[in-house]
This record gives sequence, C-alpha cells and structure tokens, in this order.
Amino acid sequence: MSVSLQDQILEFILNAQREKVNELIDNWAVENSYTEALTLILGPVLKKIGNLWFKEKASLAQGYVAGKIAEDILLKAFEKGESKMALAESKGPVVIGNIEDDFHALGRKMVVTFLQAAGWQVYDLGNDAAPADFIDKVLEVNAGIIGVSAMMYTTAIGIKNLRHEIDNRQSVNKIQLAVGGAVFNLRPDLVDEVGGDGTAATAKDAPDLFDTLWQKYLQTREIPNDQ
Amino acid sequence: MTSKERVLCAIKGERPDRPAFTMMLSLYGARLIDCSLDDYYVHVHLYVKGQQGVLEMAKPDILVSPFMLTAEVKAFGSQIIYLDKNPPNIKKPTFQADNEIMNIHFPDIDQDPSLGFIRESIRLLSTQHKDTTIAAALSSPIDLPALIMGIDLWLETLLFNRDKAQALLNRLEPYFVQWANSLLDDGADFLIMPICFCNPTIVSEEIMEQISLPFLTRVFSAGKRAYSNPSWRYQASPVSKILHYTSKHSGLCP
Repeated sequence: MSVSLQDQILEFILNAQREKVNELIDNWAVENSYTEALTLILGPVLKKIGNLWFKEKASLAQGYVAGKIAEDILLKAFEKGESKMALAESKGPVVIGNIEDDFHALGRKMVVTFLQAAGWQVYDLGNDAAPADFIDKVLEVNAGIIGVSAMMYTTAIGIKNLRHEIDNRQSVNKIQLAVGGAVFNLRPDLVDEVGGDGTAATAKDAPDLFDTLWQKYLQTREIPNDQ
Repeated sequence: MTSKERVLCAIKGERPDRPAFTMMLSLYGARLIDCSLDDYYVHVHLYVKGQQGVLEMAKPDILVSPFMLTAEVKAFGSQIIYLDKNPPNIKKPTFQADNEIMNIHFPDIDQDPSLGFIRESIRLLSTQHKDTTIAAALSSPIDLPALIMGIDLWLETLLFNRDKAQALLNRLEPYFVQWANSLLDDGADFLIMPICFCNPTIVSEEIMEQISLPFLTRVFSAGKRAYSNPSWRYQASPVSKILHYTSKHSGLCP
C-alpha cells in the first residue's frame, strides 16, 4: 500500500477536502474494492487522526470529515454490491444509542459510522433511549454488545439503570456494555461506577473496543463460538 | 469599593481593593431556595430569589442572568426538555435539514416569552442589586446556528457548504446585535458567551481564521460597549489555546 496515498488523504482530511479524498479513493477502487479502501487506506489514516487528536493537533471538525468520508465509501461499497460479500464476514450485531435524557448525537453518529466501516452490523436507537429499548432491541436482533453514549454526568449516571436491567435478565446478562462520551474522558472512574465493561476515548477507537468486548461476549455466553 | 467598582477596575486594568470574584451559580440558586428546576427556569421571581440566595451565601461580585441558552433556541422553535438536575436541554433543534435553514424566522425579542424570561431576570437583578455587576449569559453568534440546527448539521455546513454558512451568519448578525444590545439596555453590565465554534479543539484553524474570528470581530464591533470593551469568555478550552488567534483581531478580548 502506497504510504504517500495515505499521507495525501490525511492532508486532504485535515483540510476538509472531502471531494479530493473521494476522487483518490474512486481511482484506487477501479482495480480494488471500496471495502478494501476502508480497511487498507482509511483505517490507517483514522489511526493517525486519532493520534493527532490525543496530541491536540486535530479538531473535532477534522474527525467529523473523516467520518463523512467513511460514510461516502460505505455507500459506494453498498452501491457496487460489495456489501453482499461483506455481510458474510460482518461482525456483531450490536446496538447503539444515547442514554435516556441525552440528546447529544454527534459522537454516537461518528461511532456508528466507524463501526460500520469496520464491518460491524449496527442498530442505532438514536437519542433518549430507555434501558428497556436497548434490551428489547438486543433480544430482537440477538446482539452481543450495547454501546451507550452520554455527554454529561447527570445523564451518564442513568446508565446504571441499563446495567441493572442487563444483570437482572438472564436472557441478556452475558452481553457486554460499552460506554462513551465526553464525561468518561473527564472522569475515567465513571466507567466502573455505571457498570460499563469498557470505553473508547474517541469514535475512531470504537472498533478496537468492540472487537475486545465481542471476544469477551463469546467467552462468557453459553452457546459455543462456532454456532 | 462596591462589587461594580471592583469589576470595573479589573476590566480597566486598575488596582481594586481586592480581586473581584464570582462563581457560576446560575443553577445553584434553585438549590438554595429549594425550588424545582421546572419552576426555577420559568418563573422570573424564583430565579431572582435564587440569585439573592447566591449573593447572601457567597457574596460574589458578579451575578449571572439565567444561564439557559435553550431559552434562545426555544424562541426559534426548538423543542426543549426540562430536567431534574440540569438546566433545560435541547430535545429537537428547529431545523433538521440544511435546505430549511434559510427559512429561519427570527423571534420578536420584545414579545417572545422565553426571551422575556431572560430579559426580565436581568431587569430585576440590576434593579435590586445596584452595586453588584450583572452579567448576561447568551449564545455566541457563531454557536447559535449549532443550537438551532444541531451541532452536526452546523459542522457539515461550515465544512462543506461555506457559502450557505456565511449566508446564515449574515442573516443572524443583526438579530444577535439587537438581542445583545437589549440585554445591556435591560441592565446587564456585560455579556458572557461560551464559544465553541471558535475553538481549535472543535473547529480547524482554517475555519477559525476564515469564518469565526472575522465574523465575531465584526459582530462585536457592532454592539454596544459596556465599560468600553465587550467581554467574552471561552468555556470549551483553556484561554491560552486561543490567545494567539485573538491577538490578530483587534476588537476581540478574552
């Protein structure tokens, strides 16, 4: 893989030149696939953006541009019929939502995009999702992970109710609970306090977190892995 | 010195009798008077009573108007939700698609009840506490679009539809100047605004340099000046991160 292509794309993303990134990907996808573009090209670029974010050298806006480009590529993969091949190897399913009384959707939407780009089958409940809504969806689609977002402490505390629901219902008590949002970066101890099984500092890190939690889910659930 | 004299000294760079201080206790007033937030953020007399409690408890040099930015967006038609332990939040922004935003209708700042709650609070605070500085909290003009259309839609517009973003800001400008001036006319001594979309952790340097800073410089120059300078502050990151940007734009001061 051409490092210079990734460097070009990184520079275009940081300058919010979405169309130029799409041009480069389109040219590359002529002899390859958009699905491969997500993993081989955009994936490493997202890691670099994440590192820049940690060093406070990239802004939320630049991360947002990366997310929109991932959406663009996903859509093209779907239109090209690549999704049918991808489904056979898709991960999950997982259920995502903002906890009850939380209406800050931006981070959650970016997580959904990055998870889908990484091959996850995602069911998005949107804002203000009650614990029962999460559980109902998990049962409906046989999900293995719930990802719940909250921006403020007062709404994040409501995740305890979701943890309580998970622990007290035998049919779902093996699923893993990922928690995320600005408040968890400010107060890392809050993850344990609300009963979370893990968190990711940025949306870009969500796929790695979900890979880890999915392995835990497989280890703890009663049904063997190969069924 | 009175609190007002002390704050004036600080703004002028002169030496007060002691450093002026305050705490952001807009919400806390409800606790002091044992009032539900449903009532506190609706009934002016309860808000003012709560701030009386803040004054008695902490003796701050500055009292703040209701720090309830949702009052402004409610006036634009957004749905807000009242919470048990937080100020009201936005449940559904006014606009959900960017093709709607140029149809924006501006509220009447003299008639709208949500804006009236803010204005009357300032009038009563300034009348009842003449020696205390009154600060009016309001949305910054660069952030107001995010409140009425959602952060992601405003980001998307800024990033990928620069002409529309600029056109929207141009439409918002006279409204903001009128709103800000009305708060000063009501008795506020200065304005405070959390500013997110002129913050290098939120938007890129390019957006700050090309859109946010020039816009804010222009808008603040058009407003009335209390104490000879508009006042503003950042909440989203340390002031040190934006000082070198503001130093390039005369008329801005953190």
